[in-house]
Amino acid sequence: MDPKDKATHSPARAALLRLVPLALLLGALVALPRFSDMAFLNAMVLVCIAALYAMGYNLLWGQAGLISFGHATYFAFGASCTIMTMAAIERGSSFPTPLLPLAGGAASFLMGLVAGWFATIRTGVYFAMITVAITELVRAIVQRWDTMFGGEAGITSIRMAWGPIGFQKLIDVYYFTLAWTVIGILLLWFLQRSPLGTVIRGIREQEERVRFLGYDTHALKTLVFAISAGVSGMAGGLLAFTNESTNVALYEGAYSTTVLINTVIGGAGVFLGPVVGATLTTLFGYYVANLTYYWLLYMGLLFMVIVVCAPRGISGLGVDAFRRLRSDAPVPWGRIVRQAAGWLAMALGCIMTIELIGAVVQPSYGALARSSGVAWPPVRVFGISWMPASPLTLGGIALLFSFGALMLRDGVVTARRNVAKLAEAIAGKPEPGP
Amino acid sequence: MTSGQGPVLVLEDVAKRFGPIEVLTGINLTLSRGEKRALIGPNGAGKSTLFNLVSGRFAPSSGVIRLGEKRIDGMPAHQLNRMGLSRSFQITQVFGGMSLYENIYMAVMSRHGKRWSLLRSGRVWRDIAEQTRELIDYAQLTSLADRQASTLAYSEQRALEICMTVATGPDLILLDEPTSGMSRVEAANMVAFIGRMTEGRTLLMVEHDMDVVFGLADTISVLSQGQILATGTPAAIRDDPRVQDAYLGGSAH
Repeated sequence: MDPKDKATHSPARAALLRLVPLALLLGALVALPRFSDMAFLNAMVLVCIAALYAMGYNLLWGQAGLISFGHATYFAFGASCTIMTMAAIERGSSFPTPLLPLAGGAASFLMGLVAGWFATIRTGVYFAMITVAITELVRAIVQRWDTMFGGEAGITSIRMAWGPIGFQKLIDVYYFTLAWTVIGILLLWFLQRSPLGTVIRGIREQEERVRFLGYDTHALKTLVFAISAGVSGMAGGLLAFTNESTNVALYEGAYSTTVLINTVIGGAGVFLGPVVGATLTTLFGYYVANLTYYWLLYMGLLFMVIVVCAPRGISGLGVDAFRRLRSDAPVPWGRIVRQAAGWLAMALGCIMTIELIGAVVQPSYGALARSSGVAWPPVRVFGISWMPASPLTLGGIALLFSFGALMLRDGVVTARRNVAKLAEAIAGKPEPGP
Repeated sequence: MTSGQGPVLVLEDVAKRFGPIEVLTGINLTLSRGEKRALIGPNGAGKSTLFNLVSGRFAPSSGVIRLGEKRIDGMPAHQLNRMGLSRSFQITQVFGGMSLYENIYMAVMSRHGKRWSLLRSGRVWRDIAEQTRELIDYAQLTSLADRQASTLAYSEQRALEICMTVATGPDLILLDEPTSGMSRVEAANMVAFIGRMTEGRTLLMVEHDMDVVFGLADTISVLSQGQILATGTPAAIRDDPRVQDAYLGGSAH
């Protein structure tokens, strides 16, 4: 690109450059039901919900620099309160069905005000520990309070029609979820761009300075926590609306972890990063869960690789690549090809190892060995039958790992640096003491 | 806001203990309007602690601190700032990820009480933007306004730090070692800069560099072993034998 050309880039053109891909994406999402089957449309509903949840979560992390380990509470509470409102509509309440996610959002916002006030007294690891404690406390209460939250069986209700909209077809649910997700994300974007958003970023960078400029940082952090909880509650409300049921399992720690993983994979530092992560992991589950029993293990590995090698997530990698393209620096094709080959070899090696061990440890494999009389019957991976004990198979795996390690060896230093940085980010800055 | 003709800051018998360690014992200090006071003393004399008590980082163990007529000991820092007391930090605390303009903009926002705003509409936001510009021009930082704060040179970050401290519109300004880590030339420039930025306001500062102290302060208080040893004009302090004994160690002849 001609350097002069870059100098003439106007802000309007830069904005257009950002808006056009987003508009195209939105257009594709709106047109999706015309081309998609029911199963994929269903998966996309879950993608929207996970995306909104992760965006709400990342208001705390990406903007305010607070990493919560207990956001399931607000997601689940939003779901519970939405289903209760749905049940009320069924009984004849005039609450308009299209505003249901707001019921969940408002409930979680209020809960977030109380929880956030306590949690944000401290920062860093202490903040994270308080969020875990609150989550466990709420879970314990909810799981015992069957009359209110329905216990193991949960609460079920049905989506009642509102005016001309029946909300019975999946396509209605899809558009409803998509619309609320977009509204929620726009809300967060608006907040980020507002003067309050600037102050929140200031808190992330130098909280003490913000306080000494006259801002009540504890109150501000409480508000941010509550908004984050509220958006997560909206997402929970959408889940309740989609499933027409909730149960107390939603309050468990796994749902706090999922959103954290989505945010890390997508990247906390880019506004729409969490959407990328949520989309990827949800669709990963949709496709890979059908292929292998060990899909969660693969997701865990992917998470670890991203934490170590690309702590700014996939969107961070994307931003870096985009910047490099726009700068005059030459594209390091050699390194890219080498790393891609290395990762491919590593991935193949991992899949082979996991699938072979996974097949061999199944009780059915032992039964097969006994009945067929062969000590190590063949296992099918990638549509090929492998002899698990053959030196050829094991040697092949060893070769894949060695080749991968050789290709990726110069990444070790970067990886160590990244891990140290991440540890620092989670622990936060040391608090001022006497 | 403080008002009237009385002293801006009064400390009466202020003491601070951290556990068994007595850092400050019975501090009495009065700052009149427009005064520029430097606080000097050997390392460990309690200067930073005194600063932290006045600026609301800690509450004193005993004693009374008044800002104008109001008692402020134990009040949180953000409230003190709204009452007209602003401080800078010895270790630079600017918002590295934001532009210099945004750094000062945030301080001016706070002065106008816009601490929770979602919208940027109305006259007051024009005023905030205008005053931010004016202050940057006055501080002669105009050419750096769009630079990200973390990319500024150290002395420029120190200037920004002072500028932010002034931008909340305080009556009383506390500067914690404003020239620490600077070369002699940079420190001399800083003295002129601080003089211009704090004109007409009351100033209390901790400083090690005697050239800076004698260049900026019209009165000096010497702190030693948690107590105020002497207070007076620079010349009087220079000639005070007790001070020479405790601090200057005969180096100021």
